[in-house]
Order: sequence, then structure tokens, then C-alpha cells
Amino acid sequence: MSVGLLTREPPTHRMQHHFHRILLGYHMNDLNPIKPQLARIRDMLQLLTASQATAPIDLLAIATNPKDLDRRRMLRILKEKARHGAQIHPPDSKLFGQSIRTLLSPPHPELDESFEPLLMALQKSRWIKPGRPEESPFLGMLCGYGGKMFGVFTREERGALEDWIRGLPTNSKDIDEVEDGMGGPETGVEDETGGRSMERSSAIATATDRINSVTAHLRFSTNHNSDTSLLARALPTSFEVPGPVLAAARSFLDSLFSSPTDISHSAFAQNSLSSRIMNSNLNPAILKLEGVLLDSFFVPALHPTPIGEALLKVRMAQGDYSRGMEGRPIWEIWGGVLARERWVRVAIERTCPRSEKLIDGIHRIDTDTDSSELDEYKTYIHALSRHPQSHTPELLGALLHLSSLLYAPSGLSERFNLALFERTRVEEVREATRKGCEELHRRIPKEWNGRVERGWAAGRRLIAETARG
Amino acid sequence: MADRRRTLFRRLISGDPSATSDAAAFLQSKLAESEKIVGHLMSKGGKSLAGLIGRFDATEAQRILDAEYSATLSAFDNYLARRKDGGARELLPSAGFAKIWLANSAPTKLVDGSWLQHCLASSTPPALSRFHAALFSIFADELGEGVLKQNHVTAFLDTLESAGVRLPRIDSPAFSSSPHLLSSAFDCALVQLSLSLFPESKLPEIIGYNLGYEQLPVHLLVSVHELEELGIDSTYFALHVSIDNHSSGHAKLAASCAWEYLEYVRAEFGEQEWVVCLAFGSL
Repeated sequence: MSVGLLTREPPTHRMQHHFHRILLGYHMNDLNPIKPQLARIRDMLQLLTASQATAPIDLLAIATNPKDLDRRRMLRILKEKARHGAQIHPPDSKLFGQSIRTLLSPPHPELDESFEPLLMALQKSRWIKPGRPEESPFLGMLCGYGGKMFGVFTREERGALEDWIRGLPTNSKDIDEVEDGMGGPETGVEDETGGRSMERSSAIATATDRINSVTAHLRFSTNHNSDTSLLARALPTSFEVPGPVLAAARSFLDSLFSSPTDISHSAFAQNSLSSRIMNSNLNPAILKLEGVLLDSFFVPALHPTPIGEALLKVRMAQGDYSRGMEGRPIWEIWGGVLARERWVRVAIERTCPRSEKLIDGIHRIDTDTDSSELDEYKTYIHALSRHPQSHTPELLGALLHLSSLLYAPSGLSERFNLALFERTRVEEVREATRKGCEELHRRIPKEWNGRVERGWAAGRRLIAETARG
Repeated sequence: MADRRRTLFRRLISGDPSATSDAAAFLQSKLAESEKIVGHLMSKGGKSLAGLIGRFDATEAQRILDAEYSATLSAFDNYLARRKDGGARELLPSAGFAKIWLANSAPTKLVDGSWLQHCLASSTPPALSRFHAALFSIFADELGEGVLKQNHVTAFLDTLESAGVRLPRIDSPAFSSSPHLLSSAFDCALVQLSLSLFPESKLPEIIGYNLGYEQLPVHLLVSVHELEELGIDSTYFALHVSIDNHSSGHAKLAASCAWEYLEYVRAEFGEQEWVVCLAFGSL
């Protein structure tokens, strides 16, 4: 792509460059290799069904396999030509070692299927070059001008023959690829053209350097605590996490879940934050982690399920809230208030404009969350969020635990339903989120019991350890 | 079926975190293809968004989208006229083909909205979060605003059911290797799932993809018409005709999101980039 940009006028400024990028996304909608394939299937089906009076066919099964359609169309053509063909070929003429007359006069000439042996013989014969209709002597020599079969096939039938030959596997290994080979080069995955933007490759290089140093540490370090700290740094919220870090995250989870934890049922009913946590600058970090947890659940298979429904309600409560609050996610706003509170507790007053305070607080959050105190808990949440499929129940447990800290009647959010937010719907949002979590809890399938609690208990233990520390 | 698209689909749908780099490579190849289309449109001239590259203007861009919308409506009028004159169904000639068409739409429709699924992640920089919030509200709509019955995926599952198409669960290996689905049926879904993994670094592309996806295509109108004729539940498709409507629906939201984003970029970075480009040009 960079070459393409060089050969054209460089974009006059960044907005035009971003408009170009928007259009690249826009026109990705036009890349739809299935469209011509479906159109072809539709046309072929119409041809088939128009003249096909025999047994009903499993349309879905055959039509999703165009090769099969090509073959069926060929069988029908052969059937139609057979009677004449059987008489016209000399008695001793052979195709792939078999008598053409016999192949053309099967016991049930009214059935398309009777001509399978003929089609197979033709396919294997020297007359057909699989995959290459234009090089097949059957079309060129026999059916071409001057050939013995010139004029036997109509233009449409010739097209069917070409399609059939084109779809034949060129060797046994190709069978899977042929299905999609007809639309031209469209696979994309193998296509390495395009290059990367400079911006992107330098970002990747930086990230790779960082990750390499982290994984090197992980490999050689014998100290468990420093492992966790490194892991906490190496599992950022972006999606590009390299394999070794993921594996390390996985074994961190394994070790965490293998140690005995209190998973009594009452754990769901009561929860409280130590005052140390309540009043420390760790709050913003915890709040932000809730977003990480919620986001990790967004995998399409979960969407149309009762759990997905409840999760979306929880997330939407916050989405609504953030729309009302200048587009800032709720954890950042609360985090901002909390961070602010630490500095000027008395000063959540009415002197400066609300948004300024918030922005101030938000800026603070990013520096505060660098605190290593919460490393174990942070690592836990990030490691879980990297494995939404294998650890769905534990993830739910961790989310419910965290939400109970925030949204339970005695939870953190209660304290910040302040005059500052009078005109917003903070209480409404808090209620909606709490209700969503309760609903989520009710919907947990029985077979997840134990695992959900395990996720809950691990979160609780790690936070409690931080509070004691 | 060893097609790489099927494998990548399975890995992405099951949330395999190690699939990210393959998704990035896939996306890159699709963007390169898209670049060719854009280049072609630019050289062709005429009224298209690509014609505005280098001289973007929101009013002009919106005018082009408005014109495309009118063209879609009149194409549909023409279609209705052809049908009134006794013309045959055009998109779905038979119930049998409708099944095939629906089944092969499934990989895309069952991940409806997924390109937006990680918008509003906690890592979103504050400056961009208002765009993410707008995109997220479209995503929430796709998921029925938390009401399972109105979830678009549920609606599409109902359509499949009503047409008698049975497919395995989307996250099962049987789905991605289903012989009833063409390998190319996974392309759109892969674009969507791959985009979703880069909510920040590919934000412009996501905004653009969303803009394109939410425009009303004539085949959507035709599909509602013809599915109804075949006695197949068309709720999913009818839903998108109304929800993506041009004047206030997703199409409108998507367009405002794009124009506002560009305005933000202009205000925030316009001058700096100007300097960079001048330096670049003098090399």
C-alpha cells in the first residue's frame, strides 16, 4: 500500500488521509467472492430444475457444491446425446478401455445416473485435461471446427463442458481448493501483497521489542512475584498479545485455580471492600478493569444466548451513561472522581466546570494505574479476558465479584452518587447495572456451578491480599 | 475442507487469542484489494466518494450518499414494475435456492454487528471514545438492545428455522467445516471479525466499513419481497430495511460518525500532518 501512496499525490493532510482509510473500509463491503458463486449456482439450478423431472434432489447439499452441479449437468447432457451417440460410434470404438457403445446404452437410459460410468471414463481419458478446458483435446480436436464431433454440442452445452473440466481436480491433493478456485484469486489469506503502513510497522516493532524483553524475563526469572508483575505489563488491553505471553497467562490461571480457595455459596451474598481499598488510589484501576472484563465477553457465539442478553444489558447501562457524559466510559469518570478525591477531597465542589474536573481525573488515572500494588489482580483479569472461550464461567464469576464491589447497595458507587452528578442518571445506571448482574447470576447454567464461584473467589482473594499488603 | 478461511473463522469465533496476527494479515490483504477498487473508482471519475479523495468535504460526501440512496429506491421501483408485469423472482427463483442463499449468508449474519463489538473497550483513548460510543450504540441495536427476542442473530436464526435450514452451532467445528457452506461464505464474516480486533488502530477503516454496511442495498429490499412470496420469515431483512433507514437510522448515524471523525482529525492533527507531508514531498 505504501508504494501505491508514493505513486499518487500524497494526501494533502491527515484528514484526507483518514478519509482515504475510511473509503478502504467502505469498499471492503464490495469484496464478496460468494456473490458470483451464488449467482452461478442460481442459474445452474434453474437450468437443472427446468428440465429435471426425475426424483427430487437435495438442493442444499448439491448446490453448495458447484462441482456436483457441473457433474449433474454433464450427466443430463450425456443422457440427451446418448441415443444418437450409441448409433453413430463404430462398434469397436473405446473410451479409456471401455466400449463407447456400451457406455452410451446403459440398462436404464432414462436416468441421469446411468451415465456416471461414461462420465468417469471421459474424465480419465486422454481427451480431458483436468482444470484446463482450453487444453483438452475433447473440446479442441473432437468438438472444434473440423473435429468428428463438431456441432454435437450447443454453445450452452459447450459452456457446461468447460465448467465441468475447469472444476475437475488437477491432482488428488487439490480437491478442497478446487471448490473455490473458480472465482479467481480471492483467498486473501495467502495474499501477502499490500504491505503495511509505516506507522503500523513501527508500532509493531516497538511492541515486539517490549514483548521480547518481557518474555525473556519470564523465561529466566525464578521469582514468582516478578513474573506476575511482568505479565501484568505484557498483557495490555490491546488485542495483539504474542503467543508466549498468552501461554504464560494460561499457566498463571492454572496455578491460581489449582490452589484451594473458599468457594462457599455465601460468597455471592456478601462482599465488602476494605477501607484501604476504598480510600486508596487503587480504585480507578479496579474500575477500569471492569471494562476489560465486560469487553472480553463480546464473542458472537454468546450474543444470542440468555447470558449474552444479560451481559449486554450490563454493558449498555454503561454505554448509555457514557453517551450522557461526553462519551467517556463510566470507569474513567468514576476513576477520575476517585483520583480527584485523593488529591482534593473537599474540592469536589462547584467552583470549576464539571468537565474540567473529569478530564483532570481521567489524566490522573493513567498514571495511577501504573501502581504495581494490584499486579496480581490485574494479571488475573487480563489473563481471564484473553481466554473468554475456555474460561467463560470463571470470567463471569470475576465480573460478578467486581460488579458487587461497585454496584451492590453498599458498594463503591453508592459513595459517589454525589452532588456532582446530580443532573446525570448515575443512580439509574447503577441500578440498571446491578439488576443486569443479578439477572446474569440467575442465568448461570447449573453445569457452571463451582467454576463461576472459583472465578469469584480468586478475584476476592487477590483483592483481599492487596488490601492487607 | 482445509480452506484457511474456515480455519481462521473457527479460531476467531471461539475467541482464540493467538489468531490475532492471522486476522491482521487477512485484513491487510482485503484492504489491499479494497485499495484496488478505490484506485479504479478514482481513475474512473464521475460521482463517487472515491472521487473526493484529496478534497473531502462532508456536504459533498453526504450529497453523493443521498444520490446513491435515491438510485437504490428507483432501482427497487423498477424491480417492482418488472414483477408487476409478470416478471419472475430475480434474487430467489426457487425455495430450494432460497435455502442455499440463506445458509451461505449465515456465517455473516450470525456475526451481525461484530465489526463493532470491541468499540467502547476500556482501552479507548478518551479523545476517541465519543466515536466509539456512537458505534457502540449501533452495535447494541444489532444485539436487540439487550432483548434476546430482538437480537438480530436470533431473528436470523428464526429465518433459517422457518426456511427449514439446519446448521450446527456457529462456534462448533461442524459449522466452519460444513459442506453446505462454500468457503467463500466466510469471507465477509472474517473481514468483520478481524476488524473488530483492532478497534483503535483500524478505527477509520471500521468507521468506513460501518458506513458501507449500513447503506441500504437494493438486494435487501428485493430479499424481503421474495422471502415473503416464498413464505419464509423475513423479519431479519425487514428489520434492516427499517433500522438502517437513510434519514434517521443506522445509515444516518454511520455517516455522521464518519464526517464527525474527519472533522475531529482535521481540528486535531491537520496542521501537523501538513508539515510532515511537505517534508516528505521534498525528499
